[in-house]
Amino acid sequence: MIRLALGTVWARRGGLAGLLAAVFLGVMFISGTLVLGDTFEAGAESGLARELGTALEVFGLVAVVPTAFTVHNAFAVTAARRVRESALLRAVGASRAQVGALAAVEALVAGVGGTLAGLAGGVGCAAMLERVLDLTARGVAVTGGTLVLAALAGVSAALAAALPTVLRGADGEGGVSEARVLVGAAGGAVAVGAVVWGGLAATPAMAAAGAIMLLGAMALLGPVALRSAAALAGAVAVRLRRTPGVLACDGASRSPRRTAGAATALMAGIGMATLLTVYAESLRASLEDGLPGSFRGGLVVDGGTSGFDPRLAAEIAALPQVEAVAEVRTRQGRDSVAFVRPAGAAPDDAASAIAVLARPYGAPTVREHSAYAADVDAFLGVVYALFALALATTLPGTAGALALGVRERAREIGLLRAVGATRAQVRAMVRWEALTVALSGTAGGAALGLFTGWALTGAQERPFTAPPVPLAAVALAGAAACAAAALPAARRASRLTIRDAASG
Amino acid sequence: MGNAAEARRSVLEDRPAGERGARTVELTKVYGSGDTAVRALDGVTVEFPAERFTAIMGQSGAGKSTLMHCAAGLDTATSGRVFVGGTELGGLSDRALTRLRRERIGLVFQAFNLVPTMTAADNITLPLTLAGRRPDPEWHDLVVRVLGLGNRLRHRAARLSGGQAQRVALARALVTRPDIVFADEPTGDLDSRTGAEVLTFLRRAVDDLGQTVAMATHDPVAAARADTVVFLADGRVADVVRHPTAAEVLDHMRDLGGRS
Repeated sequence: MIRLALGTVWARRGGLAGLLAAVFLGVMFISGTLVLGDTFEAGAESGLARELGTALEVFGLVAVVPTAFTVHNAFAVTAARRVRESALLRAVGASRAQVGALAAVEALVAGVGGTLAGLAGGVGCAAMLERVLDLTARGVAVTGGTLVLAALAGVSAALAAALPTVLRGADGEGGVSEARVLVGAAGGAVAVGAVVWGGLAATPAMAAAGAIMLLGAMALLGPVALRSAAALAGAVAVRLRRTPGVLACDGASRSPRRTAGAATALMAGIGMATLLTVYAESLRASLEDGLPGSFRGGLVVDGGTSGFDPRLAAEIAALPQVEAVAEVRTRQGRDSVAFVRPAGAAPDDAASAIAVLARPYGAPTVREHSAYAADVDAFLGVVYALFALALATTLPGTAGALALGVRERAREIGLLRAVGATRAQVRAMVRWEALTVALSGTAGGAALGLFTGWALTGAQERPFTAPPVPLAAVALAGAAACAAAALPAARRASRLTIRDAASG
Repeated sequence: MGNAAEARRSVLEDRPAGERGARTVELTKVYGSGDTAVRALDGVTVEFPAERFTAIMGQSGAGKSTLMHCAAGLDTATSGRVFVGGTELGGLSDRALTRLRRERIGLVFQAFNLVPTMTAADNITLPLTLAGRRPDPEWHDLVVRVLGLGNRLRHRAARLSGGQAQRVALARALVTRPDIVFADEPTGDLDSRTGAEVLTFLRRAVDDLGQTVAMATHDPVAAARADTVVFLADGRVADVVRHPTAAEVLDHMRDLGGRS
């Protein structure tokens, strides 16, 4: 039985490679993000760095959702053949458990292999980033918790993708169930409410919880949104008289669940990058804008998210080494940050004097103003590196979804070729389908990121800042990734012969 | 049929009759190589004269479908030549072959002829849409009327009955005024009554619209509707019968069966 299972695994190594790649990239992203988060926290010299670290950790955890989607899609590519094989095995006397065991062995091989490689890749990437961006003096912080969590996510995503398909038969393309739409819509409404409430009432926890819930709701509603996106792209194609486009959107809206899985992964990646860009730029803005020029180059007393008692600012202002103090007060009546202009030419004296005063007030950190800009820049560097990684993780899922579409429509494509579609037209058809994925993923991700970014910065009482250039670059990168993902499926589609269609 | 005759005349003005239709010369198709090589076609020379209905008859495995596919440019022969409307297919690039199929060849398969999510009307004009052209409205309407599809155009292909789907496929094949329509077992998936109906429409495509039809079939009754029946056995032309009756076709098939 084991020999049989391993033989099957070997025979299907081509199909497994996609699954392996999906698990590998997903685990690499999760573990890399968590390690970087820990590194920020462990090396934190300020409340700011601690906060940045926590933000990264939260995103590492959230990334489990798109990873599961990607792995599921990568597996689904070969599901139809698997189901046929399982049916044959059942027909010649294999029990349901035996068929399940075969699939489990396969999923475990890909899951464990991909996870081990992913952990190594994640820690390696984090270490490289740490070195390149010079984040801390101590190197990366790799904790057991990070490794266990990322490994669990990878292996269980592989098992969860494999088992139901084989045991119950392929999950058909089918439509979108009403329950799914209802739960998604209700959850989405509650989530939007929570995010807005959190943003207006300055409760970051509420805004963050709402944001995570919103991601889940959007994943549920993805297929519906995708159908609209496909209809939109189809309308554009009709307007432009692009036949392949019309046919492609037809395909995308026919099995929206499959394509939506790919779009959801892209949406999560773009959403993350958008939100973190807004978040970091708002941080920077809060440290620079509205600050009289004379405070620049001075000192910053940073209380992090909890802040400190305003009486500390008064005591600092009374110091002889200090010329002036400007406070940033939270709605709870505490100071989050105080800017200090030292008197004379000895900022170090002022810094040590302030540090002594600060000790009874929870020891907020005292640093030079320029160090903050460096922290924010390093954080943004990490964010964009992670975004590139996130895009890479969406590639196999998107490519898989498109390849599956091509396989399902092999006869149709063969028919089109027979009645006069050129190879170029067939390739264009797959590209249009990729376009709908790109369109819905990018639009959804940007909307999600901007909205939650607005709420989160509002909750932290910082100015909402959406820098157009980096955000446009993020969206373009997402679209480019989709175009790249379409290449293999497009090539396969254009190589289908009419014989494939005629013989079914 | 006054209109039909007029339309037919205008079609014929476009291309002289001698250059329409299709023919093959010493066509050979070998699958595989070495000991496992199978000669699906072995030196087949067949004429599909313009404005005639020609049937290719034979048992399964005789090479009917291979002949259809090679003659229609869907598959390339190992050796021999194919002419469609005076153009030789050999040596054409994939792109040129695609264009030729789109503009000068009509195809009707046994099943899965239509894009299921498109309407009948869109399926009919598909080759023209792919070429970025609009149909000639007069000819389009004539084809639709002759095939009795007027009230089916808005239906999605997935909701058409088997006979209707084949008629839509035939309309798609005819809408470009091709040099020849290749129909590969067009009645194979239909019950005998619906099959007879589809054969009547193939007949009308030749008689009323002046088109050329080549049909592969293993059904003697279907073959008897053609002007000429070409019998294939083991990849070779075994016999040619003009103006056949079903009984004659059946007799020939029995003879062929006895020989092999």
